[in-house]
Amino acid sequence: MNFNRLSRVLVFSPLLLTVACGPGPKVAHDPYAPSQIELKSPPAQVSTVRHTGPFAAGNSLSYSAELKPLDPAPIKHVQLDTTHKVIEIAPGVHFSAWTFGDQVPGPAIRARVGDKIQFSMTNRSDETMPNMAMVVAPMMHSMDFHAAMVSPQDKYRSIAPGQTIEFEFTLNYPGIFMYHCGTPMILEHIASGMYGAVIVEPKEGYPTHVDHEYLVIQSEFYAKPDPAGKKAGSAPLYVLDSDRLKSSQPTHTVFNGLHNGMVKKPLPAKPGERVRLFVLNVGPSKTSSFHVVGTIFDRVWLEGNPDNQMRGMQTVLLGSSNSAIVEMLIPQAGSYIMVDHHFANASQGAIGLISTLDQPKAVDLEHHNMEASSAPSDPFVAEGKVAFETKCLACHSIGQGKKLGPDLAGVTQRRTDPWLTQWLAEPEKMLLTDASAKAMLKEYNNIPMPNQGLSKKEIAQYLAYFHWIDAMAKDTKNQSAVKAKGH
Amino acid sequence: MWLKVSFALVIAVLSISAWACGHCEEDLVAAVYDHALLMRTRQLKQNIMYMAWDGPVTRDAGTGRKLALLAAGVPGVPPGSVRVSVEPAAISIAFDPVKTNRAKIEFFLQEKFSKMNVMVLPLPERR
Repeated sequence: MNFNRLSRVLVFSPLLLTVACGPGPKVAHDPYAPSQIELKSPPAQVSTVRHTGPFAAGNSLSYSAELKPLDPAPIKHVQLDTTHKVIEIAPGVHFSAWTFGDQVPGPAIRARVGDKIQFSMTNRSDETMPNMAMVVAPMMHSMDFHAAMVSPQDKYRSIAPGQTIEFEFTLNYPGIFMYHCGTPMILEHIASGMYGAVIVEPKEGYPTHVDHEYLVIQSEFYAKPDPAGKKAGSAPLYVLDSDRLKSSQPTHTVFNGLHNGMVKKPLPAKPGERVRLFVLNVGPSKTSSFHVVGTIFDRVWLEGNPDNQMRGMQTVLLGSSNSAIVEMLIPQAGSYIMVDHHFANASQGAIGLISTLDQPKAVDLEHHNMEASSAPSDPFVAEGKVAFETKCLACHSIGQGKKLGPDLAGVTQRRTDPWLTQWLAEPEKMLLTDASAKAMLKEYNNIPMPNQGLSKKEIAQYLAYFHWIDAMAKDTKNQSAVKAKGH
Repeated sequence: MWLKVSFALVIAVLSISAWACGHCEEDLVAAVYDHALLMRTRQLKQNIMYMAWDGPVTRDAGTGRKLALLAAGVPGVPPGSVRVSVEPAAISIAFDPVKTNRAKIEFFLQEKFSKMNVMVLPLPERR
């Protein structure tokens, strides 16, 4: 063998070996391969044996934003009964809700991959609440777990009031999964409050250490004063506004079921601590651009699965029923504002705080959110609000600046009631005779205010609404000033 | 004759496929479930029959009203006991088992609804 031949053999022999052996089997382990996951489950059982007592039970359940640690038991017994009850979604807004576990959102289930969920649910929508007449007729409900891989026709069937359904399933994927009622009309059932979260940890746990874990569920409400004038105690009752629901025009967009809820009760953290948020947008119809003012998401695990990791994100976009785990560092003392950066949603109540302070200053929120309730509780004023939003929003805003016409924030301080009354009743006559009306016409490019043909009652409702807005703004300023001074 | 049979088969298949979006027959029942009516019929020892319906008609409130009117004329059906849902397409009818039965109700409904090219498919009896 001469040198040339030897060198050729040395150069090509590894190549020949590779060709002879082929690429070889894949060594990467796929934890989601069909052989690795559990797809079997016994058929669901439906009976007429009712649950009594508490509406929710199970060691894996958490009832608020603060999550309990993982229960190590491999089988999780979960009872979530359906109820109909009145909840306060914003100050003075008592809404006729349908629930899982008697709360909105329903209790969160925490488990890990490989755990089995043994689920049981009684439809208790026919039970009356203490001190409350039944406001909605009992109806059929069901449970749809996005965390499960099961036949919907078997497990997610609707059950009648008084019936109980029981079924089980194994958790195959880590993530934050929505659960909701799947009974037609599904849109109405979700918009009435029938949703919650299942948090599934990876089998080996999360790869990072954090100091706090919180759950944030974003959802929309579509509320209107009950047309029949029903009351919740002494306050007006609000019911589902089907027209707004079908056209995706929520009245409230909230975190954890409450307008500005985590403003009044901020999620605590200390400077230098690492916070993990489990964020789920249940919709039913809007996306969420979830953002925390003042920090950056160090890690984002889309859908709550560490396999789907992104780093250094400012905002995470969540469609309806999408979720993410976001982890962040709290850099220094302060209040870090959680918002839906789609600010139309934030201004409806999708706002909350992670705060190092016991009592954050109200001024922190001034530029993000309208303080307190965006819906008046007095039906007369509420009708004015609905009329205003239907007929006037195309040309006017409240607190959002000029449009085709003036911003009406503070209008009751700039104009007298008789002036406003006459202006709303006969704008065309005022434009001929009133100097300030003429000036306004000039300022707004000679676009005249149209005569809307309003009745005296409607005009009175508009005025009541304008006064309510200005009173709210005044309250906010006073509160902010007081809190800023430390009084 | 064969044309009628073919039409019936097509309608039946369409009916079954229409169940898919409402998950299952329970969802069709849910769409027309009226708890107060159920309580009342139980007191009066009456039954409620649940059915899917389908046919080449516009799915709107007007169609729902027409079907409800036709169904209300079925012998043995107490007044005010018909419930119709357009989406998902379901109908429920209360009846007095002393005066009529499920087969007769289905027969009369098929006859009345055939004017609108609509067919019904009874759901399994519920206890």
